[in-house]
Amino acid sequence: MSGLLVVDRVTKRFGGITALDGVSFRLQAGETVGLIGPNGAGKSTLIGVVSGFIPPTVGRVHFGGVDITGWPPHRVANLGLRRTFQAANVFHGLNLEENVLIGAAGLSWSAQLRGEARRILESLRLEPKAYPAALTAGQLRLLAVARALVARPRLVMLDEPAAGLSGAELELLGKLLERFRLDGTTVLLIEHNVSLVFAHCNRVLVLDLGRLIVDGPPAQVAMDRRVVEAYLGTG
Amino acid sequence: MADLTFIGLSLGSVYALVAIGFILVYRTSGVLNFAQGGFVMVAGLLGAWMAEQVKLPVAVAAVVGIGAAFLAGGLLAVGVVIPLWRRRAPEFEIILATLLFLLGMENVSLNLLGSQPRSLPPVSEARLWLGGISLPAQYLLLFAVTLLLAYFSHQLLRRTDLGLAMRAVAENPEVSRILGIDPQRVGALAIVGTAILGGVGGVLIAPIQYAAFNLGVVYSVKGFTAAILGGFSSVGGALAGGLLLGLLEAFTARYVSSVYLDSIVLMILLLNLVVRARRLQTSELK
Repeated sequence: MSGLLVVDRVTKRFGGITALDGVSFRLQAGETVGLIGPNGAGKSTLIGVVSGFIPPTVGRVHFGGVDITGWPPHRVANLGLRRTFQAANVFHGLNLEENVLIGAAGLSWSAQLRGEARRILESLRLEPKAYPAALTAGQLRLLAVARALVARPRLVMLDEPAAGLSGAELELLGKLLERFRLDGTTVLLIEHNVSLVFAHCNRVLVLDLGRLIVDGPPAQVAMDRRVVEAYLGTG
Repeated sequence: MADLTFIGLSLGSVYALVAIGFILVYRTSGVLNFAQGGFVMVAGLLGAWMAEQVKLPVAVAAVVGIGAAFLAGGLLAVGVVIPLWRRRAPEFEIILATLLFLLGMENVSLNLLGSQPRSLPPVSEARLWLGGISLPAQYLLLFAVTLLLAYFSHQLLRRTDLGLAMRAVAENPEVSRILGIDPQRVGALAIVGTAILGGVGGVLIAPIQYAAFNLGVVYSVKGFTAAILGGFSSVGGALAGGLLLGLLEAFTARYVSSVYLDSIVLMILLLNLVVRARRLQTSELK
């Protein structure tokens, strides 16, 4: 199967509710792809299934040519597939440098990696030896993205990283997304901030009621009648 | 007074090693491992038996004893705790399993090594002069090794990849999993690693106190008590709790009663728990 990530007819039912309904798509290495859709469209369920947190009811997930359906999250992560959560989920008992380094669990934490962690923190204007308690909610979100960056994953799925960020923090997030692109990391960006998605992604997927309704370049997606009706609004 | 202090610190060293074991395992896996004292007992008793019956040199007998503690820790982790985690057993079942494992270790030791208390010859017969009194070097060795192991444990947590993973798992196992850390593996490593700590304590205390099959429960209860005394959160606290308990025992035995030693110490500890609980409630009400 060609493609770094292949999601093949994935359906997820929770009791009588169908959260995902036969979703199929492929991500190629190096792409930055947006995933948008209204609340309850199934975006978080989809990345939960891909990252091993939620077993699919039907369908398969392949990553790097390996069938990872049903794998536990730590095995999926160690293949080079990382994700962030809507909540920052940082470790309050670890300092900021350690919080970034822990993202590279499974790699050897060399002096080079520590230097990399410090450089990323400096680019975010964060003090490596400080603790998360000193950060704003926006800075905590950026820290979670930085943690995914240091692992140099093959694919990272960012779950609404821009929620609650100030204008300056949004700029810093844009720089992190650029770093992922330069590292050759494939990015799946789940966002409500459509202008951020359209600015950074070369392709956009749109989910609605658990179904993938559109898959195309941003300009085409913005004009699509179904997307406008389901998500962007007609006003 | 100085000799009594040193005896207390030596005895407390073993409690401290067991307490460190309790904390490292609990903080990284949420398991209260009551088999912790069993590792001290197995290492000490098997080491002494090997030296007495097989006539192994003391150092080799000690290594065999520590090896047995390591194997027991591995068996507990791989054969008992991990299968229970896999089937998502409730916490109290895992605690019960570690207690049963402890009793199992005592029973196997009774059947294989006998009920007779044994003693391992000291590594060195030398005596050291400290502040005008003479002490067996073994006391100092046990105390120094404990300080070294506590320092090593602290550094391991603060400075190494494994330590960082342990601290992360302790705080949030679910998030650790998405970062590629396997909490079960980290927990199992903590169990095996602290079994070795207990084993080292066992072979070092065996020349000072006798080793016997039924001391596993005693070390577990006292080590757990020391961990609570130390606040149940850090290696330094566990070390302090263990040494304090050792001193309390040594001074009670000398100045109050050696016959009622355990009863008196346990009463003091119970009172300490009750008072602490009351203080906690009061501070929460504020």
